[in-house]
Amino acid sequence: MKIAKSGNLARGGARRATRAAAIVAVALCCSTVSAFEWPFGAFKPTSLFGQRADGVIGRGITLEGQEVVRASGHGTTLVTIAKNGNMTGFPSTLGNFAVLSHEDGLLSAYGNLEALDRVDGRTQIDSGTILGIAGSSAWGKPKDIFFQVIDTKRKTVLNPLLVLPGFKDTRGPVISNVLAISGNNQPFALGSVKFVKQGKYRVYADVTDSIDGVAGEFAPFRISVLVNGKEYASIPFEMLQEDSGKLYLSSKDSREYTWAALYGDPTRMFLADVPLTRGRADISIIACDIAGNERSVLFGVQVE
Amino acid sequence: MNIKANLKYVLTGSIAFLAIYMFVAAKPMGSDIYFEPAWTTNLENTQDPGETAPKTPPEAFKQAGVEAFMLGERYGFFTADGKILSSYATPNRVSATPVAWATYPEDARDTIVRNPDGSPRMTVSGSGFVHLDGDRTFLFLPGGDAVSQYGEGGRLLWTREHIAPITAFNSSPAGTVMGYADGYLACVAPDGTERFGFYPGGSDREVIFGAALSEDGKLTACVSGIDRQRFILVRASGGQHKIIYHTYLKGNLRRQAFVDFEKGGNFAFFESDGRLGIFDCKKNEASGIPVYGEVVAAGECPGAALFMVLVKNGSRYTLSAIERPDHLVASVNFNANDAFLIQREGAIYLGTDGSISRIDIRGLK
Repeated sequence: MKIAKSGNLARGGARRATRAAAIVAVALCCSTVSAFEWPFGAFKPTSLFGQRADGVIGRGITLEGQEVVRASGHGTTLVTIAKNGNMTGFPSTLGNFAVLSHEDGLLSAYGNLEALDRVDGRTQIDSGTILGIAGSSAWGKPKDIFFQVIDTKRKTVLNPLLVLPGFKDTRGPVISNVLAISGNNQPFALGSVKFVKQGKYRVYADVTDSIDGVAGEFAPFRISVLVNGKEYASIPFEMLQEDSGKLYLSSKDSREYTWAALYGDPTRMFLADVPLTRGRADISIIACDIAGNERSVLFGVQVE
Repeated sequence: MNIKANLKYVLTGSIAFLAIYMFVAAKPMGSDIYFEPAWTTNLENTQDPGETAPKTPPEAFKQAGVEAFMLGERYGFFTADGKILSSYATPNRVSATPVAWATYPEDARDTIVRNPDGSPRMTVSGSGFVHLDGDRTFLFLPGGDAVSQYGEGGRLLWTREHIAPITAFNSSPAGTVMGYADGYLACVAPDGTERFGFYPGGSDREVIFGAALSEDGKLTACVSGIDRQRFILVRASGGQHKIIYHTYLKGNLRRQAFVDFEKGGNFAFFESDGRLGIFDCKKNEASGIPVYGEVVAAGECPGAALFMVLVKNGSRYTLSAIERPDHLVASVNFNANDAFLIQREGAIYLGTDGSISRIDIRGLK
């Protein structure tokens, strides 16, 4: 049995309300700390924070169709790195990029600039100051712009959407291709079987979000997995932390969602390890985006 | 006083003063160093676009003293006696060392690294920019804060990620050092084991502008911070690391800084705002010379007292010869879009746009 629903599910509604409040609190907290402005004219992302991005978890926002890149807040020029064009240096995949230092330990980074002459030699940068135009110096597509936010106090890469003004979006995430893999590596598509053997299962799904007026699929803001109302995983796409040279999305249960853990499967995202014990098991997957749009799917199976 | 009558005393006194002055006040020249142009070769494309196998026989690339060059959109290999073994033109990115080369587009994936003779050496699986340093192969991953090292046959040795973009990078046979925009400095062994990682701090704003690792891996040099910017030297051994020297620098450089060790590990070069610092690792002393522009390269001749520096200021380059610790012997300016400097013992290879020249330093002790 599969039930897909937008908005609130009857079961677990209170928990989600609490979670939504927590998200808002984090966003408000961050926005009062820095209150960044959009560094580009139109919000046309090709990739968002936490997204699968060619061997790494997306560190920020990638945008296309931008010409001018502006400082997202008042700050100080911390460093500019020029595309390596000779036999010294190293080839940064951000190409020509500038990093600004803001109050409260926040850094903003702007990659794939055509040139750095608008930043070089300037110490103080006002919010909205033009930093450059989109170029083709970074890894990826020409004219894409990379925007990242780093919280040096908490030692995290922050989801830039947490510190940028909100945007209108009415489209919720899509959850599809849900798969459970048993301890002896037997996969089965949830929704296609009614009976399973008891044991521990790894749950995978393809979870994507869409945005009003923007083509493409994006990472959601949070994914939760519940079995009979008990939460087994909550993956917040809020910040990346580092442990032993690896970045990961941290979850409440202290699981470290590294790129290999989260995106090791080329077609789906790993979500959770869940134990299924004898009796009925209702497996819920809930995904929401940063605008608060929520989607959930519920699968009922009989565990033997 | 009758000057005419005392002229002989005045002259005698003057000569005596000059003689004493010459011996007491004169700076020793060190040696009679002079520069002798050996050859200049004009660069022309010897290869067709897209061609990877050079027309020169493969054996020619195996001789001693083969060097790689990269000048704008042109790259290839040449010999110590001035023969161009290969010369390619490409709009793509290039990384080349005397032992390998690779060219790749902006959205590079699964890049092939080739031997100088064009034969495949390995395939670096994954997305990002390949960086060759000596016989070491690195891949800078999308996102700006992650790098991997690959071994023979394209085997992944290690990958390191951090929360801030990489702003400094250097490697030696003993490992790799990385600096980041949040001020973190990390050093790993060739197998990826972390030798140390810490925030040097000591400035109002933390950031690493340049870092270098000595050939034996024992010393790491670094330029870090804004308000006040500083140079630090870290000694690592036996799983421990310690800052053994630091000095505050004048001004604030806010771009990538040139930092490098000479092969012998006796000296470190570090760039600051308007200066090139020279640190004597034996004496624990720093000195410096003023530079007007961005330090592109510093050549060195282990054991000799002379080193060369190439500085870029827009399209104007300055090549300077410096006698240690900080005595400017000679300098010459020239205009070019691209230039490189390689110093091998007493030979300097200077590339400028469409030509490469060899200049021999004579009289080195």
